[in-house]
Amino acid sequence: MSEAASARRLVRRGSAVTLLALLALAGVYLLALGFTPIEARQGPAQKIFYLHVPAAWSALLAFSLVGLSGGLYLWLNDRRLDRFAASSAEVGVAFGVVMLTTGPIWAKPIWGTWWTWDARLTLTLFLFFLFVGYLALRAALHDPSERARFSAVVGVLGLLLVPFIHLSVYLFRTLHPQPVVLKPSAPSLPPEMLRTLLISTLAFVLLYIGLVTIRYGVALAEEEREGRLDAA
Amino acid sequence: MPPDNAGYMVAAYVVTAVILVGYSVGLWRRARRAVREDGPRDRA
Repeated sequence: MSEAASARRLVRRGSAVTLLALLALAGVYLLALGFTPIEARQGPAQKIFYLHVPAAWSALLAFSLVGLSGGLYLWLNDRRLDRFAASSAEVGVAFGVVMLTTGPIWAKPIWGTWWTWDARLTLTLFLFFLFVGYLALRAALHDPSERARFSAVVGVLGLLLVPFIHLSVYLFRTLHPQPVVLKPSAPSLPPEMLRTLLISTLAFVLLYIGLVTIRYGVALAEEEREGRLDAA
Repeated sequence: MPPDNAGYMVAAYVVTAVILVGYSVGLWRRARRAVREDGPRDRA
């Protein structure tokens, strides 16, 4: 199958998965707003949790996969790994925007401030800027192998930040709450809240898969066109 | 009695929907353009 046909097939499949994920997300809105209890101390604002946490997890997953595939690219020199890394970085930045906008909207009524420069928030903001820089670097470099090599190094550096972000709430004094699910002991959430959180996480992961598939198809189509122009 | 802060919740849900649907539609349109530009060669 030619690259153009593969790109078309990927875009078709990715679009179907993305549509399914957006419908699932609409279901999450119904579940979270209509069928999940209001937390007694924080009130309705606590329901931001069902979007903020899955968006944060998906962004960190996306950025980690950029680093892993970047490292593998430096080792194996396989163009598919570079295409995947570029796709995952872009989708990760989109999820990062959700994380960094819902966080302050939740913080204002609970902490009394939109933002605080504590370790968790500051490291997360740095990670986000690092991947915005990753995308800018890719856009600025025209030689494909140079672009892939340089951005793979930036991706690996971003990956190194991810464990610090997870552990920052233990290592530093911070306003940000400690994990209620991703911790050694059992999740400290009522079952209805845990159910909504897990369903929302599945919807976000499905959306990640759909969007990365479309973006990979775009990268494939663009490479094919660049190759054709170079050959002409 | 829980505090009345539903406005923040509504704002976060609306902002999330705008970002995710906006990015999905934008990417889909970009993908359609990209594969359309490849089309004639593929059919040839």
